[in-house]
Amino acid sequence: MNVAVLFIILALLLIVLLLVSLQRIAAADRAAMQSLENDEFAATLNSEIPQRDVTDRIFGSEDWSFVTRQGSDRLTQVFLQQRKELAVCWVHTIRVDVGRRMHLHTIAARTSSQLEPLVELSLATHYWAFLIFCQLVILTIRLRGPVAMKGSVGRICNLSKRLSEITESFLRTDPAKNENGRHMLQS
Amino acid sequence: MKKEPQAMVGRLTNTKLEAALEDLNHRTLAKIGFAFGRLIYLASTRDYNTGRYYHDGLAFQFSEEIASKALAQAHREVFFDLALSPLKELAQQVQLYIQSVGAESEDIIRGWEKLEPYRVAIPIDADSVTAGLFVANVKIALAIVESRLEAAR
Repeated sequence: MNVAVLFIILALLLIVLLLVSLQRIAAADRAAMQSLENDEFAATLNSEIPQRDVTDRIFGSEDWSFVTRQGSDRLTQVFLQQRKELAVCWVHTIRVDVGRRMHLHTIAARTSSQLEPLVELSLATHYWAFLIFCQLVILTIRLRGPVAMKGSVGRICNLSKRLSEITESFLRTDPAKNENGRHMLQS
Repeated sequence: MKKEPQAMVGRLTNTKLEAALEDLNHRTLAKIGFAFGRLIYLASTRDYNTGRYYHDGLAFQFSEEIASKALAQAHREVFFDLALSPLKELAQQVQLYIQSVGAESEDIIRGWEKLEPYRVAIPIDADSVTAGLFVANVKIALAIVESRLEAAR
């Protein structure tokens, strides 16, 4: 008898906890949807990955060739140390940018009445592939430096572009998202 | 109806801004013979507390606001040119600047390595990756200049 009462109390506690957490999620979603109406929305969608010439400078081989021609081990060491940090920062910047877009997409998708499971699955797959690839590139940068990595960097750019296109097209076409956001996208 | 006068004011401001930029380039910046010197000069016209730029001559000829905008734009242009330039060119620029200061090169390099004063040369609206590229390249350029000085001794 006592055990049954204990179980009922536990069950009630769990239900209360569940309700509280659901309420918190709903409040967080409402706050996030409100933030879509302010500048943050525009900033997120307008935020750009680093410009092409910056990327070429970081991952190109011109500066590396110049440094190796100097014939100084210390210089080579300084160059690799500086450029490794910078290249990792570049990957982080792109990852954060895509992460923000995915966050926006998740918020919009939660309230959407026209979800397309296949598109969502494709988006999730692309996003995970993107995250894993970013980690691999960071590991490679740390091991051997950022020189001559234009191929991998191009792949990161393509993946982030693809993800941005999918999330933006969703935000453009989904009627559930607010008019304000649509207006900002069009302007 | 209200938009027309606003557009006219905007066009007028742009024309003044272009004139101020031209004046700044021809009268002031042209006298500084190398890009890194121009960058340091432009950064030094900025108030570190407010981020606003000041230039008495330009402000007298145009207005304080136009002068500030022209200086900010010139600062951005010089910064991005230098930040994206090949390391070979930047090293040359840093070397020219160090030679122009009029103190012992070793002392300047030591000071720059410890205090990193070149960070104040970054415009307020530069993105973090370009700013990072500039800082990284100046550090490498300092190491290059240092090794050249050692070799010359």
